[in-house]
Amino acid sequence: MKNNYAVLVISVIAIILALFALFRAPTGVAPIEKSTFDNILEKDEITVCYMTWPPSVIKAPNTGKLSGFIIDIFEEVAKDANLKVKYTESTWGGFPADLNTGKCDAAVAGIYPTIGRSTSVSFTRPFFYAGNGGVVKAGETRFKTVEDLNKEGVKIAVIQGEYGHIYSQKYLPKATLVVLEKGSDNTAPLVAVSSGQADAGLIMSDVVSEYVKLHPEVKDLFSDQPYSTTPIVWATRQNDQELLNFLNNGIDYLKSVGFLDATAKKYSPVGWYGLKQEYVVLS
Amino acid sequence: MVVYTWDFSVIFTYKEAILNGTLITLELTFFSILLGSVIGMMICLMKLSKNPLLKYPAIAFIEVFQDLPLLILLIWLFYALPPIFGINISAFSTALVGLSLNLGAFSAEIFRAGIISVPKGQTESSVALGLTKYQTMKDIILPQAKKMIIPPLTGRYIETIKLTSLASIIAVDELLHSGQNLISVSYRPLEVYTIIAFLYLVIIIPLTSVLKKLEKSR
Repeated sequence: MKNNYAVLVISVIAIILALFALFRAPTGVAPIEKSTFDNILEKDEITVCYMTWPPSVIKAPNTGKLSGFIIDIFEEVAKDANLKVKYTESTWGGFPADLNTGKCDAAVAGIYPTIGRSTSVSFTRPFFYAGNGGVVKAGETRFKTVEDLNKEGVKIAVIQGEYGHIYSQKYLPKATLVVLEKGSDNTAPLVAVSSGQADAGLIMSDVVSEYVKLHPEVKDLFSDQPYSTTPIVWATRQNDQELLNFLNNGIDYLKSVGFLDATAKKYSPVGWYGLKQEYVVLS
Repeated sequence: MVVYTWDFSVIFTYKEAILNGTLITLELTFFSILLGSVIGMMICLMKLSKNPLLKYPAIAFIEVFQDLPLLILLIWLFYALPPIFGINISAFSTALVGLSLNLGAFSAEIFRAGIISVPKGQTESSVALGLTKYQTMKDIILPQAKKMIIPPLTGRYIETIKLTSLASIIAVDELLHSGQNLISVSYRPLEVYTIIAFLYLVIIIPLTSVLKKLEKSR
C-alpha cells in the first residue's frame, strides 16, 4: 500500500516536472523569420479575433454573420490593402492569449486599453471614445450623479476588468462591488439591478441605452451624459510593429476622409464619440 | 418585491441560434462520451495490467485528470498547447479533448471497480476452460461487471452533458455561448438563461429515464 502511494506520488511529480520542462524548453513553433505583416501580405489574408459587443461588433444569432461599425471599418482597412479577413471568435478575457499564441494577428472590437494590458499586447491609437453609463432601479431617488454611489451599503454591479470596475475601485471605495465575470453577456451588471442583486450597474452607455428601452424596472442614471469616456482601440501582438503601423495608418486615413464617423452613424450608436479633426494654424 | 418585465418573444425570433447551440451541445456531448469511454477503458486495462510501464502512467493519468478542474484544463489546452507544441486546434476540438480526458479519468476507475468486483474464480475457471484473455474479458468478466459499471457511468455521462457548458469560456458556440451572444443582441438575459436551463432539462431528463430503464434491465 505504501509502495503504491509512493509510486503514485512519483508519477504525478514526474508529470508536473515534464510539463515544466516543456514550458522551459524552446517552443515547437518554427523560428519566425518574416514579420507577421510580411506573412499577411504574402497570404493576402489577415486573421482577426473578434469579441461581440453590439452595435460595434454584432454576430447575427441565427446566421453567425458579422456586422457592426467596427467590423465595417476594419473591412475597409483590409479592402484598401487587398486583404481577405478571416474571423475567429475570441473572448474578452482570452484575446491577449489568442494574439500571443498566434490564433489571430489582430484583435478587433471596442477594446479599452489600460497600462496593465499594454504589457502583454500592443494597441493602435484610439479611433473612437465610448461613453460609460449605468442604471439604477426605476423608483430610485438617492442617486443623481456617479459620486452619489460612493456610500456605505450601496451595491454596484460591474464586469471584472471593465472600465466600470476599474473606476469603482478607484473612485467609489465606500460602495460594495458586485464583480461579475466577463463572459459574452454584456448585460450582466444591468440584470443584477433588474433582479435586485445590486443598487446600480455600470457598463458602457450603448448597452445601457438599449437595455432601459426594454426594461422599465430600471432607469438610465446618466441619461445621455456619460460619467466618463474611454478610448477604443484594436490590439496586436507586442512585437508586431509593422502591423501596428499599418492599422494606425488605416485609422488615420479613414478618419481623414470621414469614413469612421459616417460608418458609426449608420448604426446609431448611443454614447460613442468620434475623434475631432483638429487644425493648427502654422505661422 | 422585484418587478421584471418578461418577454420571451426574442426566443422565437432567434430560435435558429438556440437550436444551433443545442445541436453543438449534443454533438460535443456525444463525441466526448464516445472518446471518453474509449480512453477510460484503455486506462482501466492499463491500470489492471501487471506491467509497470502501463500501470503507473495509467495511475498518474487518472490522478492528474481527476484532480484538475475542467475549466482550468480547457483554458490550459486552448492557450498553452499552441506555444508548447506549435499546434493550433479549434475551440471545439479543444473542448472535445478536455471533456474526453476528464470523462476518461473518471470512467477508468468506474470500469476498474466493475471488473475487480467479479470474483477471481471466474477468471481462473475461464483459464481452466482454455479461454483466451480477450475471450475471458469479453464473455465472462464484462457481462458481470456491467452491473457494477452502468449506474455510476450513467451519472458521469449526465455530468458530461452539463460540463459542456464550460466550453463557452473558449468561445465554443454551444448552448450557453449561443445564448450569451443572443443576450448581447436582444438584451433579454433572464429569458435567455431560463430557456437555456429548460433546454438542458429537456436533454437530460429523457436521457436519465432511458439510462435508468437500462439500469433496471441489466
